[in-house]
Amino acid sequence: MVKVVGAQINVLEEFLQTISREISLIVPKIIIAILIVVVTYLSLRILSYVVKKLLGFADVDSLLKKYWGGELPFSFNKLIVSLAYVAVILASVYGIISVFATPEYMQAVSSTIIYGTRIISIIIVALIFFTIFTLVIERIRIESRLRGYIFFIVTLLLTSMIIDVTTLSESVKESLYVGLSIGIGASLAVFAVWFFFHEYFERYFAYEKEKKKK
Amino acid sequence: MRWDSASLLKIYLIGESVFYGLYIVMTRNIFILYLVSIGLDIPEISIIILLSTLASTMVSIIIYKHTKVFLIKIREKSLFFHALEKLIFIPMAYLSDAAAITLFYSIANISSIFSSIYVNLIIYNSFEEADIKDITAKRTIALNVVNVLGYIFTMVLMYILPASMKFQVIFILGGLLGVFSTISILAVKIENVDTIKMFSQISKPEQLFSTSSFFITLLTSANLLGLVWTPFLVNILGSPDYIVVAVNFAGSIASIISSTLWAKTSFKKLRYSLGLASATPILAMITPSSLLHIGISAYGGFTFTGANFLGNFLFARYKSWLGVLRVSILLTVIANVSQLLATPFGLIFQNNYSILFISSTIIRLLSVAIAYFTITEVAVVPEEYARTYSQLLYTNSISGYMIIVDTIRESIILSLKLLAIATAILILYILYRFLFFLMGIS
Repeated sequence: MVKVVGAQINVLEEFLQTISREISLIVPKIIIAILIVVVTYLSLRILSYVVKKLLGFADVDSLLKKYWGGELPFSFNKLIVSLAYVAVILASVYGIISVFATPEYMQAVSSTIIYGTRIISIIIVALIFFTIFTLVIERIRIESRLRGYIFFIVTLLLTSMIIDVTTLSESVKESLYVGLSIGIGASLAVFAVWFFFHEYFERYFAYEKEKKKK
Repeated sequence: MRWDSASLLKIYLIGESVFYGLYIVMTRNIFILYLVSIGLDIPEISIIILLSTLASTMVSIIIYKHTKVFLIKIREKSLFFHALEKLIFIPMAYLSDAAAITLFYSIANISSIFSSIYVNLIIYNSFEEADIKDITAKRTIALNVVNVLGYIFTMVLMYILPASMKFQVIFILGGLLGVFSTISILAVKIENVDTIKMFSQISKPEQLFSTSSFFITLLTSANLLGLVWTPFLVNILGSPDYIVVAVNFAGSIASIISSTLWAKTSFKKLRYSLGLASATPILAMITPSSLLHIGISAYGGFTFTGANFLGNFLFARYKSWLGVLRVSILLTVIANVSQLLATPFGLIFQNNYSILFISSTIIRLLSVAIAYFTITEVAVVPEEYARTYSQLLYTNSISGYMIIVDTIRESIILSLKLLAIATAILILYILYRFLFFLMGIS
């Protein structure tokens, strides 16, 4: 009976030792994580104040309206502030994970964050493309077919960027790039020929048509 | 014989002018020579002159904008600056650092603003138009007589004193003699300071604008001519020293004689002096013989005194609707602005005598044109035409000025906005660089 009780006490003692060792290891990490969260919060507050003040003074949207005459389809100020938030949050998430995770996990975390930033960059490029597209359409009176054509080219360019972030094999990606490049090039060539020579073609076909009738 | 208060006041003011003239000759007139003697080069001298003139112009404009502040303890304040302007040259003789000299010379120039406004205020507040003409002429005569004597005295001192201490001795002497000009007006009290008329609205802005423009252009042209004439005589015509001295003497003596004549002349006749004065710069440029320059200087001194009186007398007439205080300050502002306009121009083209002479001629012709076509008192066109031209000049200048100010303001705001955007994007860049740095990607 005494032996059984002694063994149970030993087990309990061992468990307590293990748990205290783990706690003593994890508590500093928790404190560091809390510190990171606090610093992140403070950084976000300060950054938000400074960037908002700067952009509020610059007032890009009204500047564009005044000097360009058009409006952006999104708020420039909000975009910059959101990007600043994303950067700070990603840095703090990475910091917290690096405190707890082992180096082999960190590789995966880094890859995930890089992947995330690539997606963000594609979104920004798409925004820039569509902004330019909208501003051009607003400034120049373009007929609906031509508008559709420009939209088509922009979409193709964006597709090539999206392919870059997919998990397709390199050979498939390369084939798609080549296909898209030929498609965009050919499309531009056909458009250029039509744009510069369509009057001649129309005159030529009209003449041929009349000749056939006779 | 018993002196009445007006005569006594005139004596005080002439006394002030006498000692002020001595101080000018013994300090300010040889200041550039002193800077050269301590080894400063042309760019350093240019910066000293430019910065100090800029400082005094700014102060004079501030005083013009906030005239009420100037009136607080006006006598004590003005007498202090009147004496300080002179005494500051005493320590300046022991300085060799360009920054320290700039500071001291700026203080001297700023002090001179207060002292000249004060003296102008005494004159314009105490006398009517006829007496203002009289005292202006007498002060000009006194100043020119002292100028001649002071010049001889300074040259003698320069000759007999050892090189190591001559500037110290002359500056100390000039500064102390200058203090006597303060003592001369120590007994003068401006009566009814509290009741000096302060016109919040200028009733004839176009007239004031025309006269100010005329006076600024006239004085700018004279300052420019003063900068170029002596170096032209020495460097281009190779005149000996005594000719240069004789040229200055002739100008001063002609000015003394002409003061008595012009002081009693009507506005319509004074305009001839202005027309004749416009020929001086071009005559100086085209005359190859340095001996003939003595005659040109006498001609220039004679005619310019009349033109200068014209400006001063016009302001004496305007004091009834412009206010004594504004007239006094405006005359000082005009003197400073014309100095500020001429200085950089003279320094940029310091070796190109033709450009400076031609510029001086053009600016003087401009002043003649402004006076002859827009100032009713001296206009060569009928009075109603002069009034219309004056109005046109005023409105066009104001609208031009507004456009320039608006454009500059907008450019500055746009630059600051672009700077703010650049800063925000830079912050973003730093944040993402930090993120990639954390992840070990450089």
